[in-house]
Amino acid sequence: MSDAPETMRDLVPGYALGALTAEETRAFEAALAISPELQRDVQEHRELNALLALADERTPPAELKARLAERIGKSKEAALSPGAGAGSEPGRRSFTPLVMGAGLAAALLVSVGLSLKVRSLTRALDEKYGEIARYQTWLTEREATLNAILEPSIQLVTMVAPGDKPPIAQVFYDPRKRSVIIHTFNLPPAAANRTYQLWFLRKTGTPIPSQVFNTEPTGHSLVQAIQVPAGEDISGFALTVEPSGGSPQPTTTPFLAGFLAATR
Amino acid sequence: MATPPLPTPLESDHSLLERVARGDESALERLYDKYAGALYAVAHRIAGERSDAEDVVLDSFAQAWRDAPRFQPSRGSAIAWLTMICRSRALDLIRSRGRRARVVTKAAAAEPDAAPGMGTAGPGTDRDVEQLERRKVVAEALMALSPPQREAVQLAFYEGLSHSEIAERLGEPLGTVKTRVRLAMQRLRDSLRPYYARQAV
Repeated sequence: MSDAPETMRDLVPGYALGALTAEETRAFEAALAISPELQRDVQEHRELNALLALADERTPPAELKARLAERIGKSKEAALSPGAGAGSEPGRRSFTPLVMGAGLAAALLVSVGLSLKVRSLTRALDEKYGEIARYQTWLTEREATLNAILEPSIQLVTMVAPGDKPPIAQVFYDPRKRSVIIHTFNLPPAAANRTYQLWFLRKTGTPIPSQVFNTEPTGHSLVQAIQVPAGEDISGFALTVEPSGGSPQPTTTPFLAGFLAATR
Repeated sequence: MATPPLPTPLESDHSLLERVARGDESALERLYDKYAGALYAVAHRIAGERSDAEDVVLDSFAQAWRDAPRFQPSRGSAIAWLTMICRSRALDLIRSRGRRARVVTKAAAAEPDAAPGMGTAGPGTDRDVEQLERRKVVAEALMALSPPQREAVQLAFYEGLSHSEIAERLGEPLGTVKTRVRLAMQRLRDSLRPYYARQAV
């Protein structure tokens, strides 16, 4: 292991190189999905990798280009063919009546087996369609999150507590839409009958109560589309532990807090 | 008889990828002419064998053909995208086979131009001059690293070894290797930023 605790930013060069373990890659990609800063860092290292590659050109074999053209041509043909992927062969499509008769007898013998097979394949196909639909839903949600945090007006406040493996909360604030996304990691689930609560800090006066939430066993949570009350000029954010259901005023000291850049 | 418009010599990579996304093979051919050499070098160094490198380059351009509609210029240059695809394909190939066989073969080391960033192309066309300049600045940036950092770049970038494989190869603690690779790549990033920022335009 590393001598000092690694931050996600430390993993950027290794990620761009493909040098991380599968576990590190999964953790990094979870953070990457919601961090414009990490996305910029990764892109920069990919540009660097490209420059290193460009400075190291070698002439590929002359016939390689023709092989690529052949492969692209085949892929286009396959895409246009109505029997694509079904293993159909044009030369075997026509049958004489005699062969058809023999074939019919054989078909009758195996029809029961075939129908069972078809049923089983249909079930498997339905399951796959279900998986694809779930995946598409997940992708749509991720894309919506990404779009939300990539808005040019977004202000990011990162709140980190001290310690070896500190809880971290990222608050993405869109002043134009007056909405907030909060993402936490390393934050263990709240104790029984307790919850976490987000507070909007005013420049003066008491904090405004907002979203209550809890984290997954992994310490991760993501809450989107939290609205800032109209007419309130907020200067920052804080998190406290509160009784289930939340409180109108904080009942514990905030364990994480951070301020918007312009109001520090 | 009307002839189809010829692409301009200065057509951008983004424009080429847009045409690829619409199924224009001539645009893919132009991208191949521009970047096959770089991708072939990446694949050859990582995969070690010519035939594997050729397969990786073919797979990479075939993937670019399929995925061009998903390319987003706002997220970086076309060559950064192609390089990422190519490295991924090459790493997938060697990791699926088991790295050790490749390390033993290590055909790339036998190449006459094996020193990274120090190729043998002579000056000629504008492209050659540009390539010479690129090799020079990369070679200078590599030489500015400490020898252990340079070795880390050699193993991590050019040979495609993971952190743990490098630690095993060098017999050094994993944490030391990770820090060394990170610092080396960050130094290269800082010194080469003006050059790769240009390619991203």
